[in-house]
Amino acid sequence: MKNGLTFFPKGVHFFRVSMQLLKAYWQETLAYRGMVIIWGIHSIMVPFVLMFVWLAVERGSNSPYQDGDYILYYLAMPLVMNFIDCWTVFTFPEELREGYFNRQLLKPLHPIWGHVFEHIAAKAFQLLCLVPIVFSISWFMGDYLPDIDFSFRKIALLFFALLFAVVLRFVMNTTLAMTGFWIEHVETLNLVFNQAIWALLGGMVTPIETLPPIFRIVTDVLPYRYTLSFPIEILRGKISNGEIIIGFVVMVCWLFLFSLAGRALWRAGLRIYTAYGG
Amino acid sequence: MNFRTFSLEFPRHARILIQFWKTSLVQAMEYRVNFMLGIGANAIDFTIGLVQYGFFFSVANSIAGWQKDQMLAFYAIFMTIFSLHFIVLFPNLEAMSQLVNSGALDLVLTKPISVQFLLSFRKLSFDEMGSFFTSQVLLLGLWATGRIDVSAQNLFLFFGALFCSFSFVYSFFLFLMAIAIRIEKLQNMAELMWSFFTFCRYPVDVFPRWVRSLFISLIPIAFITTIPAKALTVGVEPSTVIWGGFLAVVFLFAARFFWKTAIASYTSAGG
Amino acid sequence: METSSSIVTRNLCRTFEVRRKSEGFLASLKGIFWPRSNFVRAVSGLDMEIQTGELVGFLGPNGAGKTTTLKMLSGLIFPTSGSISVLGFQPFQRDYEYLGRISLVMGQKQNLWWDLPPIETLAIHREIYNISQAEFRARLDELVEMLEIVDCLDIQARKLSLGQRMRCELAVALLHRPQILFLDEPTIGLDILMQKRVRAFLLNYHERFRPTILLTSHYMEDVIALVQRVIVINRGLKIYDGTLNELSKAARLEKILTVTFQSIPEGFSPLAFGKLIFQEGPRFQVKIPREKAAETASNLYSTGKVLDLTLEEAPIEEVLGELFAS
Ligand SMILES: Nc1ncnc2c1ncn2[C@@H]1O[C@H](COP(=O)(O)OP(=O)(O)OP(=O)(O)O)[C@@H](O)[C@H]1O
Ligand SMILES: [Mg+2]
Repeated sequence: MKNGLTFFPKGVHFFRVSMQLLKAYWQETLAYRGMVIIWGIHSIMVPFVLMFVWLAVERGSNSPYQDGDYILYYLAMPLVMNFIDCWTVFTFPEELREGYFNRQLLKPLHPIWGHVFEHIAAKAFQLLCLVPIVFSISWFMGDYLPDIDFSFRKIALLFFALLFAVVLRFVMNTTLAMTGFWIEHVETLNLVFNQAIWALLGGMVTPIETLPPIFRIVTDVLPYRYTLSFPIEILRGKISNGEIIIGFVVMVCWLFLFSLAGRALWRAGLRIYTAYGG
Repeated sequence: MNFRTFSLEFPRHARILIQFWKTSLVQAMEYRVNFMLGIGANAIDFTIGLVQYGFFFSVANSIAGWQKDQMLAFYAIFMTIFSLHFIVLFPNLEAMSQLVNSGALDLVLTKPISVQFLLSFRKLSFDEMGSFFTSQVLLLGLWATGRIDVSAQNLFLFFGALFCSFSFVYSFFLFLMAIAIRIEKLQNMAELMWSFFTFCRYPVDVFPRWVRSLFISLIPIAFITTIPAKALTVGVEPSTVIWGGFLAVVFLFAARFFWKTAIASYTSAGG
Repeated sequence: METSSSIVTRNLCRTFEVRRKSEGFLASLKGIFWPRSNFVRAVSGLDMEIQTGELVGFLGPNGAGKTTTLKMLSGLIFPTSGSISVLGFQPFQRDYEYLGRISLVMGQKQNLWWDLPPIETLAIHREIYNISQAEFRARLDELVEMLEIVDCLDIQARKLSLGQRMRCELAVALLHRPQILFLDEPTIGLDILMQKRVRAFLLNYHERFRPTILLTSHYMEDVIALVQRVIVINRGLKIYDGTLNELSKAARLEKILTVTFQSIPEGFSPLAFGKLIFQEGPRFQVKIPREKAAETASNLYSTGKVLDLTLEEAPIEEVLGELFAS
C-alpha cells in the first residue's frame, strides 16, 4: 500500500504478528485493569438505572413492552455495549496531539491494527468480568424474564448481527477519529454525533420497538439502531424476518459508506500530517 | 486549619484562584473556534437530552409519580449540577492522574498553599457553559410560564438542598482525587464520577423501596438531584434537608480525612 | 546567623514498598489478586548538617537515594524514621511559612504550565508567594537579566528548547527568593555551553543572595565548579562528607605522574614504580601509590633527563567510581 504501510503484513507473518500484538495488549489491559473495570461498571450502571426507570413508568395501554421485556432488554444491553464499545475517537486524536502517532508510522504495520487488537484484548478482559455479573442477575430475575428460545438459526443471526454491529461501530468511530487530523477536539463532535444521538436513536434510553412509527422511520434508516438495539431485538425474537433482512442490508450500506469515507479521510489526513510534520 | 489561619489565608487563596481561572480563560481563548464549538455542542447535547423526555412521554404517562413538567424541572436541575461539576471539578479530576504520573504533583506539594484547594479548583472548562446556561433558561421558562410554582419556603429549602448537593458532589470528587494519588495506574477517574451521576439522572423514586431509603439515609444519591427538584416542584419536609445538611458535613470531613491520608502516603515516583 | 545550621538530619531512613510484576499470562492474572511486594531501602540512617549559606554537592550513583533525600527535605514525602530539621521546621508538616522559604528544582519535572507562556506561571507564583507587584517586577527583571530569558517569557512553554525551559524553571523557582534551594540535577540533558551558563548563573546567584544550596548532579564539572563541600552517598548510606580536595585522599587513590624525558634513561621501565597508563615517545603517564609519589619524582629528577614532570590527583570521576565500588 501507499506510504510504505502494509495493511496486511505478508501472509505467513500476519498470524504471528497478531498473536504477539494481542499478547502485548493483553498485558497492557491487565496493567490498566482498574480503568477497564471502572468502564465495565459504568457500562452496567447506565442500563441498570434505565431498567428501573422503565419499570417505574406508568405506561400507556398500547405499549408493546411489559416489565419482563424491559428487564431482558436492559440486561442484554451491557453485554452488547461491551462488544460494540469503541474508543479510537479518544485515543487516536490523543496520539496525534502527543506525538505518539509518529512512532506508529515508523512501524511496518498499518496503525489501525494496534487499535483493533487493543480493543479485542480489553473487551475480552471486560467480558470476563461482565458475564458472571449479568448471568447472576438474570438468574435472580429469572422469574420475571420472558421465555426466549435459542434455536440454531437465532444464535447464528445473533452472531452475525453482533459482528456487524461491532465492525460498524468501530468503522464509524474510527472515521470520526480521522477528523482529528484537522480538528483539535474530536471529543466535541463525538459527544453530539456519537453519544447523545446514539443514546437517543440507538435504543439506549427508549427501546426502539416501543417507539411510535414516526420515530421508527428515522431510527431504522440511521446506523445507530443497528449498533445497539438490533442484536437485542433479535434476541427477544419478536422481530419479523423482513425486518431482519432490511436491517442487515442497511447495515452493509452504512458499513460501505463509512469505510469509504474513513479511507478517504485517512489518506488525505496522512498526506497533510506527513507534509507538515507531527 | 483553625479559623484564624483560615481568615488570614482565605484572601490569598482567593487571589490565587482568580489568577488560575484567568489563565484557564486565556488558554481556552487561544482556540476560539473550539471554545465556541464546545459550547454549541453542549447546548445541542442538552437539547437532545430534552428530546429524550419527548420520547419518554410518547410512551409513558408519568415516571414514578413525576409528571412531565416536573420531570423537565428535574432535568434542568440535574443539568445545572452536572454541568457545574463539569465546569469546575471535572477538568481537575481529569488532570489529576496526569499530574501524579508526570511527577508534577511533586512541585505542587512544595508550594505554600492548600494543595487540596489548588488541585480541586485550579482548572476551569468552559464547554459545559452551554448546558449550564441552557438549563437556567429552561428553569426560568418553566417558572415564567407557571409550570412550576414556587413558594418562598420551597425556594429556601431548594437552596439548602442545592447546597447539600454541591457538598456531596465535592466529597465524592475529593474521594476520587485521593484514590488517583494512591493508585497511579488508574486513569479516567472521571468515568467513576459519571457512573455516580448516572444514578442521579432520574428520580430515586424509580428504585425499589429499600434502595430508595438507602439513597436517602446513607448513600446520599437522593440529595444530588431528587431532593432539590422535589423542593422546587412539590416541596419537601424541612427535616429532610436538615438531615441532608448533617450528612453533607460528615461526608466532607470524611473525604478531607481520606485526602489527607492519601497525601501523607504519597511516594512520589521517579526522578 | 552565619554559622548556624540550616539543615540537620539525624538517622534519616526511607523505605519504599514496590509491587512485583509477574511475567506470563497466568502469573499476571494471579498478581491481580495476590500482589507480592518487595521493600527498597532508599535512604538508611543519613546524618548530615549543612550551614546557612553553604553550597553543598550531593553525589552518588543512580539509585543512591539522592532524590529521595531531597524529597524528604522539601516535605514531599514522609521519612520512614529519623528526624529532619530545616530552618527549624519539620518539612513534612508542610508549614506554609516553611514552604515559602524553600524551593525545589528538578531537572526532570517541571513547574511551568505546559500550554502557557512562562510569564503566566510566574504571575501565578507571584500570587502564591504573595509578592507585591513592584517587588515582582524588580525581581523578575533581575532574574531575566541574569538568566538571559527576555525572549522566552511570552512563548508557550511546550515550544521552548530544553535549555530555555530550564532557565525559565529556575526563574520560577527563585522568584520568591528562597533561603534554601534544593537542586536535583538542574543541568540534566543540557549541552555543554548551556551547562556552563547555568553553572555561572548559580554561582552568581549564590554570591549575591547567599541561599543555602543542596545540589545533585552527575556532571562532575558542575560539582567542581560550584561546590566546596560534597556529601557522597551510596545505596542510601553516607560514605563521605567533606571538601572536594580531601575526597581523593579519602579514597586513598594512586596519584598520576606524567613525565617527559629529553631522552629515555638507560634501563628505565615505568612498570618499576607503577601502572602504565600510556606511553607516547618519550612521554609516560603512570599511576603510582600516593605515599611513594614524592620519592619517585625526586628520583626521576635526579637522572637529569627530565624535560617536564607533573603529579596530579586522579580525576574526580575515578575517585567516585572507586568510592562507589568499595
Ligand atoms: N516512589 C518510589 N517508589 C518505589 N521505589 C522508589 C521510589 N522512589 C525511589 N525509589 C527507589 O529508591 C532508590 C533511590 O532512588 P532515588 O531516586 O533517591 O535515587 P537517586 O540517587 O536520585 O538516583 P538518580 O541519580 O538515578 O536520580 C532506588 O532504588 C529507587 O528505585
Ligand atoms: Mg535522582
